[in-house]
Amino acid sequence: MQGGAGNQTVDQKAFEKAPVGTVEEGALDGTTMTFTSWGGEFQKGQEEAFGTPFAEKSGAEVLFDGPTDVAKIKAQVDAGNVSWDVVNASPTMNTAHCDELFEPLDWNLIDTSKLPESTPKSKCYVPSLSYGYTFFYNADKYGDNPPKNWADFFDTKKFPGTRAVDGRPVPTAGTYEAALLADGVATDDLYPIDTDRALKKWTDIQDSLKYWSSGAEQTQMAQSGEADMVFGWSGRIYEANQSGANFKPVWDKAFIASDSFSIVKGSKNKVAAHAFINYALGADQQKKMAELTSYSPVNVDSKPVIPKEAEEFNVSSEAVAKVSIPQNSEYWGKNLDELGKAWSDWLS
Amino acid sequence: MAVTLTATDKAPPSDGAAARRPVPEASARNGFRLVVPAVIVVVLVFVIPVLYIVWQSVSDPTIGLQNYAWLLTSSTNLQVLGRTIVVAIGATLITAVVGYPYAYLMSTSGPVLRGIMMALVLLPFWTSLMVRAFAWVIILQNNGVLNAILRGMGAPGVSLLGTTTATLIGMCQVLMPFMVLPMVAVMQSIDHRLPLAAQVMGASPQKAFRTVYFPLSLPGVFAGCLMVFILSLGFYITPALLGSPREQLLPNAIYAQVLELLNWGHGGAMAVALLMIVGVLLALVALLGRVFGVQIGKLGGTGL
Repeated sequence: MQGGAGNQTVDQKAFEKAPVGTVEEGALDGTTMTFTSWGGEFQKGQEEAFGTPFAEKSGAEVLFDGPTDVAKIKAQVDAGNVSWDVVNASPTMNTAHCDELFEPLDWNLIDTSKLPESTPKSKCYVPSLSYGYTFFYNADKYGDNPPKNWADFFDTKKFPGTRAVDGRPVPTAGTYEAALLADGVATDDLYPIDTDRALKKWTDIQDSLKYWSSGAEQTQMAQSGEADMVFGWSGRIYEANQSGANFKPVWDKAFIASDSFSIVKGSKNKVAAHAFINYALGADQQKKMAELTSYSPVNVDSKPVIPKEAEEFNVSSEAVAKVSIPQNSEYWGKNLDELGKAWSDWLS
Repeated sequence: MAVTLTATDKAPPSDGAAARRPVPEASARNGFRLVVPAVIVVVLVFVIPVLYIVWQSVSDPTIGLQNYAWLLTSSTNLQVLGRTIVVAIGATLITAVVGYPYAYLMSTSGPVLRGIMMALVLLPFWTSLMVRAFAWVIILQNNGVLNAILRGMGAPGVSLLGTTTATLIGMCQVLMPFMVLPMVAVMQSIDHRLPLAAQVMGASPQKAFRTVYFPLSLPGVFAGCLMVFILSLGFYITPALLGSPREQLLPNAIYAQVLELLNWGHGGAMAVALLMIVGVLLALVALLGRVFGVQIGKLGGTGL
């Protein structure tokens, strides 16, 4: 999976100020580059929406690999043998390793004018899609009196039942915040995070907790009835509903999260990688990806046609935007070691 | 896996067999030449990476022993280490207790029953570890097969998935062939007239079993226990899918350090600790095996 053939001949000037979603016909003839994402149906959707069309239009040969794995990126960078170019990652990961594992982006080559205001954007990444990180409850179980906010999620007396939460050593940004919100902390006072207070709140309900360690496990736990509530990623619970589960999202103070496009430090195809990202952020491409993967687009002109039952999970809808809060991936990225250590110590 | 192979080589039966047959000098030299490619492969894909991990454990992020200090001073790590060893001992004991009568029946039964019993042990063994772990997920989950049966009988359901018990169940199924097969191999070589002779001489069947048959079968038990114990120290997928992050085992903790937290030094120190535990145990068991081997030789004269 070696890229780099012909990258010397690519003239950066030709790509500057290209409008989002466009690439000049045949501009990358003879270039080979690699796009890495999370794999599965999700990546297939991305390939269909912008990966393959970009290759056809630009003339570049685009290789696909996955899943994204920060340890593999570190191995490539440390060995000075970088074979991944564009990586679909998480803003937290990008911020934590900006300029060390990820290239600072060249904003002359990416048109960000159509990105929604609310989505995060930083030195080493642009958002690639949006989703919600919140809790979802089994509508059949809780019926007429469902949990409505974080306080309810942590109230195991009023709402008995198992809750599935992030069991990975570094949890999704928002895991501590949810506990603090339930404990009465105001949204504006969340940072810096009081990890001890948050973990105490989690300890209080630990007998009702189950742990997932991947998106697929969230889907499985919702589908099988293993958990009555899942604190997880909207796309995965939507998948469970597609297969017969009946889970409803709670958007009050839900964390709106993004995936990101980023470039591996030392990529041999930097210009092509920027061109790829600029193309993938186009309105049509984002619309198509949203329709194929159920994740929300990050282009204000993108208006995907989504089925009615998916509308409830559409985090770019106005109803959700009004009550939710953005995930603070900057803070998480900068304090990742400390936040991860506290969580993984608490877990084990 | 290389550790496993060494373990098989060290198993008493093959040791004895190799020692008995003298090898002519010329063919020994040819044999050595034949081994060269294998040695190169092992050095390239096993020895060098292991040395690299050892190097990482004392050099990442700076040169020094800070990673080992971290490993031995954090109560979380010591808990994980202790839990890993306890689970490995548990899996070894369970498979030994369940495997022994099974192997006994297998070694004494006719070819048809033996074939069926062999298939029962081996068929799941030929199925991917991942598939089996997922099958256990389906069986053990709250609305799973097991609970459906329990509730059908009017019993209260049990919540097993995400517990160490579930991990142990999954591990024991995977490890059973490693316990049963060495046992069967040894038991088949035991002369069944010996316990009979003991009974003729007036021993009760229990006593004949205890003083004659059981000591003769010990090398198989040893080989099985050693294999199972060492393999269970390295289990990753089964605890990841059936266990809980709150009851983490060492390989899962190594994974977390290396792949999620990017602390390669910490992960390296943990990996070296695991390697050292296995090494010390191998030495210990080799020693014990020699002690027992001598006894068995005296008692049964089987030459094992």
